[in-house]
Amino acid sequence: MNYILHILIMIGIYLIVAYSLNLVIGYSGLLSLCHAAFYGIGAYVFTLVSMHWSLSFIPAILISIIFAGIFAFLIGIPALRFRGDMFVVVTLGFQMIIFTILYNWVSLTRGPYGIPGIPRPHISFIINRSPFSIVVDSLWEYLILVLVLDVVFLTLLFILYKAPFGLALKSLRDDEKAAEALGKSTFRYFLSAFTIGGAFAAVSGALYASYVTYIDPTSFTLEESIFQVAILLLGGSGNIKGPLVGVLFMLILPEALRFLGLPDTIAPNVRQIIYGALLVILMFVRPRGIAGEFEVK
Amino acid sequence: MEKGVYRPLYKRSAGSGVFLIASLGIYIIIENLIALIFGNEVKILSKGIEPSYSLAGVVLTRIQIIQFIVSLVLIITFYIFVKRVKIIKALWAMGDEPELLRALGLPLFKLRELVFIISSVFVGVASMLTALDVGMDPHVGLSTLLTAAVAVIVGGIDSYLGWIAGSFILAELQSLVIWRTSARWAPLVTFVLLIFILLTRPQGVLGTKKRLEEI
Repeated sequence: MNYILHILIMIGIYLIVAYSLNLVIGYSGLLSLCHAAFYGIGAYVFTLVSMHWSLSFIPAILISIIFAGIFAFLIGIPALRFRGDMFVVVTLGFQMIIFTILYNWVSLTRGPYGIPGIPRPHISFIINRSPFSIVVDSLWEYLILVLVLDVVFLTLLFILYKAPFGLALKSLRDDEKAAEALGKSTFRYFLSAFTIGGAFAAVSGALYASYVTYIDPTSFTLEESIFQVAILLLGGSGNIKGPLVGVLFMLILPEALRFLGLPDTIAPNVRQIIYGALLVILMFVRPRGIAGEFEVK
Repeated sequence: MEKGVYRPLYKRSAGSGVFLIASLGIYIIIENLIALIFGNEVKILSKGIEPSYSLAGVVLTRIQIIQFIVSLVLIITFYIFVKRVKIIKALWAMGDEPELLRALGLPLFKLRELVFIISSVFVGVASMLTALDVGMDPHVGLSTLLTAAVAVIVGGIDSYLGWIAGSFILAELQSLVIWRTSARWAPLVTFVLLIFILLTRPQGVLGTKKRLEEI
């Protein structure tokens, strides 16, 4: 049972990542390889803030969202001068820069040693003038927390998707010149989408940090960025069903492979081979992913 | 790889993003196949300590001198090859406008195969030299590729001297940073330089000035 709860919690965490990245890849058509950097910034800011300033869960998450949003904004400004291949290269560069900083600025992030002992979420609020405090400790409680946050943030994202903002993004994605001719500022829309996407990834980072209670930079590498992009490519992007399919597929696949009984020495490599083969096959057969709308061009 | 994956995709007029993802998938497959067959650890080729020579105050090991000489020979050979042989002009043309190449009667697909063969040979030599020096493990491919890509972009995508210049600039800056601060900031140099060049002079140091869209 704990195993299933763990998988459900990870799915819940990755759903926010996937839907926030969906805003950048699916709705804006920008293949961004630095989402794991924002995920990592969210995790680290949340951790440092809750451990050094002893803030409770909600203020810490809000601060990590703001920080990740600022970083996304600053990275978006130079990155959005380019489109297509070069944009991928620039975001890749920023991903590596942020990873290197997280890994090597040991006085701030403890680098490769990681930060252990992250406190589980303490949510305190006041009802009728008497303070209440919840500590989220057991797996069931964690699952409920993740579900609540999923509902909150995914609803926000869905509203953005359906709003004129989302539609404008899609029109810019499909034909930039035509949309600009109609008066939509490419830079502003894309920058907003990029910033919001990065900011929401921080929520997942914070959830991850307080769930595993230990973070280190090796969870936020280029490989993780590629994994998150693969979730969207496999499941589909640009709509609401796609990222869900992608997250379910990519998180359940390794668990399903576990039951094949591969010896431990070769299992991780075989898993990666299947993953790579899926990417190649996908480009041949269905560039829009299983349930998606946006096609990789 | 070319025949099985890239050419069919090309024939379907796939955009560059598709090639990027497909090549990433192939990279993951091959990297892990190698790891499956040979193991995930670092493998070294020679045991013991390399004899080292001291030239004007700089200490170099024998393998590093071999690396230098081999690289120099390859670069000079390639440079002469590029300047003299006509096939290379066709390759530049192919980079710009592949369809026009077929209109002029040149074998597009054979040239694509040639590109893959030549680049694989160069990469093979480079990895052999590195393996003899510091050893090899299956997972170094991506970071090496990234460093090389940065060197090419920094130096200038469309100028042969640019590639050499880019590698020099990158290596020099890395060494300076390592000397001044510590070795762990070396990757930072690579990518900060990349971003800096893309923002200030996107065609690279020795590239011809072009509009941003044509890069």
